[in-house]
Amino acid sequence: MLAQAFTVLSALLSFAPYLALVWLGDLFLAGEGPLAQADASKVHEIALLLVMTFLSQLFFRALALIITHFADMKLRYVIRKGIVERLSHAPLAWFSATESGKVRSAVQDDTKTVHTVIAHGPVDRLNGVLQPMVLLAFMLWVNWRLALIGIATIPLYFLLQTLSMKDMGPKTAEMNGHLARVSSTMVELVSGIKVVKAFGKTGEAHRNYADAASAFSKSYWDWCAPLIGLCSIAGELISSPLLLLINLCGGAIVMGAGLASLPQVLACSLIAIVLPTAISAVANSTWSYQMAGAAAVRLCGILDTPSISESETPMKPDGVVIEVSDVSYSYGDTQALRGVSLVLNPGTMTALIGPSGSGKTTLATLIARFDDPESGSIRLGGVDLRDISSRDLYSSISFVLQDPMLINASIGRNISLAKPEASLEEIREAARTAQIDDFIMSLPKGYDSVLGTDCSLSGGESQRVSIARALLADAPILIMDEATAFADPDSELEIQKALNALVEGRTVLAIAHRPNAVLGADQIAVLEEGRVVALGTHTEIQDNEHYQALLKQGGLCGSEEEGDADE
Amino acid sequence: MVESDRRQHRLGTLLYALSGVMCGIGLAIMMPAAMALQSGDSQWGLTFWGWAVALASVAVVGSTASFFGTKLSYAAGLGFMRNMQVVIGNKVSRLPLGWFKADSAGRLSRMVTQEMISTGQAAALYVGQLIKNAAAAIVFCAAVWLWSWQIGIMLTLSIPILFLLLRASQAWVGKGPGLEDSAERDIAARIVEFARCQGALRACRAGADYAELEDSFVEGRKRSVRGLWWSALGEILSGASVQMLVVSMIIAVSYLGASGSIGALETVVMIGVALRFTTLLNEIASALFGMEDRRAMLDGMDEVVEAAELPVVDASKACPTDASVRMGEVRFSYVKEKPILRGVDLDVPEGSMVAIVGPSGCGKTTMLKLIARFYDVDDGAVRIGGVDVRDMTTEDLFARVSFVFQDVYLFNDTLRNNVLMANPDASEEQLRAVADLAGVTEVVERLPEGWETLCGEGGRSLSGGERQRVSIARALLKQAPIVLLDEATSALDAENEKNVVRSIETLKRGSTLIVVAHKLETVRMADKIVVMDSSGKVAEMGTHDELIDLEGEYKDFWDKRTAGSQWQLA
Repeated sequence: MLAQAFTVLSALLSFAPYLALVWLGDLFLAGEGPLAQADASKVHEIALLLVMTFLSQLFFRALALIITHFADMKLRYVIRKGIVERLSHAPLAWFSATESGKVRSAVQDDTKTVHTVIAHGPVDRLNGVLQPMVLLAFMLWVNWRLALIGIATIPLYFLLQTLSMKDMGPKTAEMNGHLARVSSTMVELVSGIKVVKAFGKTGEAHRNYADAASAFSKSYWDWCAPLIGLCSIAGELISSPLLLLINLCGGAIVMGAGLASLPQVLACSLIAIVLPTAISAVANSTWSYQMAGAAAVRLCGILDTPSISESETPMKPDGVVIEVSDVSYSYGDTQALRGVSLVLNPGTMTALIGPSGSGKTTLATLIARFDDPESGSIRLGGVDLRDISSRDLYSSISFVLQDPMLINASIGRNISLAKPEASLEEIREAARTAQIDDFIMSLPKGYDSVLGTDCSLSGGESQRVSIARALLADAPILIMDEATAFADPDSELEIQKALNALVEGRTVLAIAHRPNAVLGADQIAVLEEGRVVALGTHTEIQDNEHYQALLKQGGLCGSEEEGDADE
Repeated sequence: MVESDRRQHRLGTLLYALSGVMCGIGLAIMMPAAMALQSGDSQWGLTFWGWAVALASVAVVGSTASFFGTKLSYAAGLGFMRNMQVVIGNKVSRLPLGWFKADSAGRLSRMVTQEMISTGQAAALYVGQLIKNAAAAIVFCAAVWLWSWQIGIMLTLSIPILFLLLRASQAWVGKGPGLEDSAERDIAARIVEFARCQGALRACRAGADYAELEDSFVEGRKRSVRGLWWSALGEILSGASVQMLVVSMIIAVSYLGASGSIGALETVVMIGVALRFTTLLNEIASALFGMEDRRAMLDGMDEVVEAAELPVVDASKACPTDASVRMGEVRFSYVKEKPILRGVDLDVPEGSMVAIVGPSGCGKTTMLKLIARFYDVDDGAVRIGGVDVRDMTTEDLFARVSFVFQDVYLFNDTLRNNVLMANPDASEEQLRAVADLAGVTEVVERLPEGWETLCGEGGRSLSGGERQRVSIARALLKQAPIVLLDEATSALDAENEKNVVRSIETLKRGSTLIVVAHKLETVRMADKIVVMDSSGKVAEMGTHDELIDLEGEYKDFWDKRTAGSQWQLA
């Protein structure tokens, strides 16, 4: 608001120099020969006035600019936070379907484009509209005939501009789509660089990237070409030699008819040259509105991601019993779970086994509320997961899956992610239990070593850091992937020891790939095509045919060779 | 820039300069034209209408030049973008692996999109604008001498000073984006991480208030604000200096007019033209700033384009005689102080299979990477068929070597293309054959869209085991004489195990096979086992039975692995 007021002030002042010009001109041309004393002092006054208006115009403009920029920064920050907040409620399945390059370009680039228009636009527009208006009004006041000549080419200019803008919306959106694709294929290219080197054509980027880049250039050209042609013709309509020509000639005719003075003609001609500069600022902002429109559409796309709702009236779970009742879930056309029911009693271990694609991981992640079931319900301590605040839910549930998901921060921070207030001693205690303390202490910076910068961890070391993280989080319910135990054969024994310590005393749901590793579980649930086909202890279900089939497969490779599988 | 773009750009610039000259002449014509108009006589030999005709021709030439100038420079700018995208993409695939850092993906992705457009537009827009306005300013300056030598001197002297002031403010303005850019880069990396680690973050109740991301936003904002002050200072300095020049010019002119040393009409016209001159100077300043804005981005691109690549030979110095691999006295370290390999000797005859085992971090995988020349050895040599890998072209090397990685990366493309990338000319039967062998066929059959299923970024739509199979199928399809296999460690289930064993048997029949082995069964299949110790040297070498009898490191390894594979969670 303040910024707009300053812009108004600065725009209002813009005609002052021309006013001074007309005054001076009248003064100079009134008398022949040298000026009289009184007139000379008037010249000084006018010159002084000119200096004043120039300086205050500059001052107001700068002030407005600074204010809007600060507003800009704040807005961008707020929008970014808003998107992140929103994304953190999207079902996790959404993240696997959306490339991180796209997420990045939305949070970073699109917010930048949009915020510029929202915060910056109004002031620029105001200035862009107001300044020409003031100048035009001044011209009309000086001499309406000259004013009309002065703006003669402008309607044509606008016509061409509008023509060039026609149908730009969808084209811009298409171009931006191509751009997003370039962004995500570059992320791929870098992440898959080893594969590109070994299998790609030597020295050439991966085809996906190359295709995306050329598709983008093409659409960018399609987007630009009509704009360039029309815009440069439009631009020539308001170029200064042409405007001077029109205005001087027109002025000469009007003057010849005795309807204008030379200073008026000069002032109007000069204003006519300056006027379009101010107007093209508006045209430019129309351009960025187009860009911002497309960015906004993409942002809305992100904001429209289905979100996992947070209950308005959260309830506290009473105890840690987990009851899965009649749960179904599907990914698109693939039905992953069909009416699964299961109870996890406190302090017991449940193992989920079954062939690849039988829904083990899906079931486990639904319990961690990575997404909500389509039908049926999952209750923790008697309360539906949907009615539990995420804070309460994740204080009760933690998970250790195959991807250790370490962040680019110090090892200490990685371990204490769930409990930022933990002391170093607590962190070390967890690390000791996870069999990784000795290793961390052997690093020059110990727990302050930043991953990627000070050290890089092997698969097994990363796994143990993530186990330490779960140990420190100390949630009563643990969802884990048994394959983690075999994530790194080089440190298999250590990881296994760490896992045994982790499951101690907790309610555990293990996604198991090797039946032999979970023979002692309190209950084994055998899944097949999204259904529980057997449930009970090893002895209870050992005659079940599905279970037997799995056991047999596990035993095929000999007792020491059970495969370590994954979903 | 490629030559044709460069030519377009040069021509475009020339045309811009021409249109700038016309613009300057046009302004200059105002003076005699106004005089002629006022007096009704001819001025400098032409009547008012004579000057009007002159002005018209100037306008025509200027507009034509500027129209084509714009077209050409946009085409050149676009060419620059297209070309840079390709150059950077290709460069990325040639850079040594050591060049890549955790934030490289985010950074490069920004570089070839947002920054590329920014710089391309700058090349098209600002350079032209600058040239045009500068030419106009110079012509105008010269014309002023014709009217009044006093003002001429004043302008001629003050323009260099103004230029220096503008450069200074340009530098200040440039500090802004410089400060902001590094923060924005951090933000980019954090956002990618935020998306990738979403599961863990949520479990740690750090989803929406993930402190690192929040910090990077805050830092970004702080830096932007600091940068803003610099840019504001720069803008004010430039604005003030332009205004000062014009104001002093107007004052000087009006005093000269008042004292009668220049005529009344000239005074008025000159003041008027001075006002127009302000716009000209302001446009020069804004073009300078616009270019400065992009400088940091251009520097970033230069850094990538000029990053050192592994030296390659243009043509292989010799042709490998067979598919044997020999490492002689190889020393290597990723970081200077921490050697990974300290004098490793390894001899793999053509057609044999060698398994490498050893503790974590002993450099097993590094050995494979050196053979594939992802890095160059510090000392010693890696030879394929008797030829040093450094003396072979990359094409020749990768025509002989295929790789199955531990961290399998699939592109977000169809399953078919992910396998076919190893050999785009492979026939349908070849594809089916390797798919059967590697167990990809079962995956294809289960997926509703079969071979045309999109794999998701990094292959996220497939499970680890499925990805592994695809990776093996790739290696099988490539049919390279030498196969380096970093064995799957976690991704295969009992059933897939059979596929792997079968695949290894097939590979073994046709190729020299070097395996970083974890599975006991694979180790047993090898003709020779190399046991590395943690100091980066070969500790033991021999067949399984020989090494067990040694009762050394290998025996230890074997016992530990046997115990581990019998582990029970409960």
